Amino acid sequence: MKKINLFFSIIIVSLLLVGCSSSSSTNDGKTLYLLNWGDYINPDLISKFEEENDIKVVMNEVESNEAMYEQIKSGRTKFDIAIPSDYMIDQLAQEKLIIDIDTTKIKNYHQSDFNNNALNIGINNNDYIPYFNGTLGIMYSTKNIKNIKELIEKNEWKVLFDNKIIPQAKIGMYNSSRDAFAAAELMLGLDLNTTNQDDLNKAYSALNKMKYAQYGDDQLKKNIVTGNLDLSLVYSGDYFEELIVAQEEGRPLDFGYYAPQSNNYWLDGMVIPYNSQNNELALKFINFMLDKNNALENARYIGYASPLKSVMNQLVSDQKDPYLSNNPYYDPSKINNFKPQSYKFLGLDYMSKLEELFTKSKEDK
Amino acid sequence: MMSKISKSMILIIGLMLLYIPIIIVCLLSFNDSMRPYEFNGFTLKWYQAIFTDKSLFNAIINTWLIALCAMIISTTAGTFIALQISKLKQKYKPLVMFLNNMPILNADIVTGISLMIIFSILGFSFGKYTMLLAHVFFCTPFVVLSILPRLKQLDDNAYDAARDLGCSHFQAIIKVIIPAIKIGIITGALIAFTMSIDDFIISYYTTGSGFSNFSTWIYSRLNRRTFNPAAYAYNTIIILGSLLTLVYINLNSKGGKKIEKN
Amino acid sequence: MKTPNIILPLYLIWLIILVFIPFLLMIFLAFSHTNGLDFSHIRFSLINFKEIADPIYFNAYLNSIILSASASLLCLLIGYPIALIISKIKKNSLRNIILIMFILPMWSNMLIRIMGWEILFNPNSILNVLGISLDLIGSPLAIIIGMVSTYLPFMIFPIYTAINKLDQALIEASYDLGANKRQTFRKVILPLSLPGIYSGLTMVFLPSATNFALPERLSGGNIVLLGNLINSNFGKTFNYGFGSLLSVILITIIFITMIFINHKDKDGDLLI
Repeated sequence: MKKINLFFSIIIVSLLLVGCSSSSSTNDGKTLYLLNWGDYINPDLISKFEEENDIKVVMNEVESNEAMYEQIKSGRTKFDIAIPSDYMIDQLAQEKLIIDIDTTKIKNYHQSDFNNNALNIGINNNDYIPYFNGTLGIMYSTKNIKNIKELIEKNEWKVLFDNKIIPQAKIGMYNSSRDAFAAAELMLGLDLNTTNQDDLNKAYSALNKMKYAQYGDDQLKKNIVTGNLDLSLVYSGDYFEELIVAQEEGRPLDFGYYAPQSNNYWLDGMVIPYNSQNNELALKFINFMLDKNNALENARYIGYASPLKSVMNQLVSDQKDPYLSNNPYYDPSKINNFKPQSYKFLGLDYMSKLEELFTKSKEDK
Repeated sequence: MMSKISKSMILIIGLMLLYIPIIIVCLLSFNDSMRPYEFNGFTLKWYQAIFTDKSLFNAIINTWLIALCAMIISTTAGTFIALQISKLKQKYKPLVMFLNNMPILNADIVTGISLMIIFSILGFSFGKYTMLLAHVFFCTPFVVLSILPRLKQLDDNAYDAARDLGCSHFQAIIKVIIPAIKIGIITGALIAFTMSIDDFIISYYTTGSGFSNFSTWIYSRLNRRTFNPAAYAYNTIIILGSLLTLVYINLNSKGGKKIEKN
Repeated sequence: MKTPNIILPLYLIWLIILVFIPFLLMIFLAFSHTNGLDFSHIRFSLINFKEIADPIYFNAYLNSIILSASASLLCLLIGYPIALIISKIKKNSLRNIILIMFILPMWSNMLIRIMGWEILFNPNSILNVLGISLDLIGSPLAIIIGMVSTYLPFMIFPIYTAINKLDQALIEASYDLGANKRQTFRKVILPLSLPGIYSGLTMVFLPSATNFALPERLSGGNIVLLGNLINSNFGKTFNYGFGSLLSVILITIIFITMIFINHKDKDGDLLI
């Protein structure tokens, strides 16, 4: 009998062990749950925020807007802050999965601080707080192909859709239906929010006839840097982040980036999901991230362009990171003759149809 | 039937298939560069980084805690369940075994999704407890399976003899039966531990609130700046550590015989 | 024993809650058009059946079968001789050490092992130092090697257990009756180790076809297997209905396999 008791006490002790394990999952107002993209916040800022408020930040990282939607809607973790992109913010707002942000409680929030693009994406400004903005572009490696830069600048989006332009090139494509179709639509000169069947078919066949060496997300930028891919569709910040890392390590720059003028403008914004348990802390976090110094530190680490005008001006004036601030493609609001289009939410049916077409374009060869 | 050469050839092919990736990772754990395609020089800094990278260290602690707890719970429960199954009437046994084997044969992804769905419907908050529950769920059947054959070999009269000699029901179990099936219990516990510590897919679906074990930590950081080669170093320590322990136990003649006897 | 014990009934209830209720829910979801687990807008629909028959997914099914079957076969071809060789080693300590050598890799994290292969298969890898550049990412070969490497122990151990269980007297009897080594193997050892082979094949085939991390890493996103399809329906497109239908079909296949295995291996002790 004694041993039976012993067994059960072992079970109880082991449950307690798990109970007091390092990562706390209780919500006692001391934990901020953050749903983020990979490599999308400076870890130092998280530690700083934790120390300032004597709380813990628990972060989940995902690789697509769709995964972010799934995480919020399934409610398995009750997030306090998420950072989806424009069209996903729209969708979340329409499905009432995010709540209005009371900007009067955020000391550092002033509408006039943001660039115009960031506030005019067709979504109620109370639904989101701009975090980073940028464009799509083509990142390339100069390791294997010497004249790759000229070829890309001459052919723009076409290089992603014609294996013959740079025959020996290994090309990467985002494994996201929305971005892959956007690239094809930009190449064809179509509207990024087209629902016209003919347009979609055209974009589909452009993707379909291509042989991509890789469909991926964060591995695309890494594989360009290692030279395992020669060129790829990337978000602007993917390139600038690798640029920062290469500068820090003092490596030769054997990769580059080009953003065509006819492009997508995207904006990621902080939102508060409907089931947030800790509204007050979420507002504190937004306030913290809007602080000019913090935003600057974040931008310097991540490589994306901040929608805060003061941050961008500071980057230009102090010239601490000239490879960022002097790059013509860094700040989307300063690209010459920029013809931006933003994604809009086009309905769940459209999304699943796009996903289906994308799968088909990969498989039907 | 097979010549000596072809025998060792096939063993070497098998071992190479298993060990090449481990050796690569071991090499990288000593590589000064973060990039896997160049060797910049020898370093031990990643071994130090296991302890300085807070999130990695937490994930490792979590992995061990979950594995230990899942092992203890599933071994305890599995032993008693196996005892009960062995006493069942023959006609019920196949059905019970069928139920028991289901989680073993089921694809990990289906198990993971099933658990995710049922935990969501039950309104559980995802995190360490759901992960532990899931691990106990897939470990217990292995324990049951490894104990049952031992119970079958057991003399049916052993328990009755113990009772006749004045043992209580529990005393008879503890003093007579448990020692006789000890090896089955140990094997079951080891299998449970191994399964739990290496699991990725089921953990991936049943965790939440930022609770991660080593596998989910790696998965969420693949190709990202936050990936730390200290993970390679940790893996190397595990492999070398267990290799040395096992070889030591085995070369120790007493241990060798023990394993052999059973 | 007379004392009533509640642990077995509890265990059965636990298994039913965690195995069969989700299974029933998945069947229900397979027949409905829904967005996640949102039961308020659920409606009956056969859309998932239409989707599953869509030719765009045939490649995924075909890939899963062909690649996993090749991997299982390779595992058998490599694993069977290994199990046989190990079982014939007379010296205990040597046999145990070799057994340990085949168990040990399972203690190294699966994702880390897959990363090891990924690093090796990239054109620019650590092998460049030796002047070798493998360029296998995206090829079926890379995936098959990854699968064999990950699941080979699951083939070796059931077969080893089955061979070990063989009554040595049967083999001696075979020799006494005039059979040579080859005949003894064909007529005695092989048929009697069949249960081990069956369970080894299932233990390799199913996880290979349903692991989503392995093809994700080694195919460069170019090869989609059943596991990726299920994973993306639950994790990305939030299409629980279609994902459930795929899972239900998978479970049905597993059921059939289990009945088959239960038939061949009454004790079920070859599963570990």
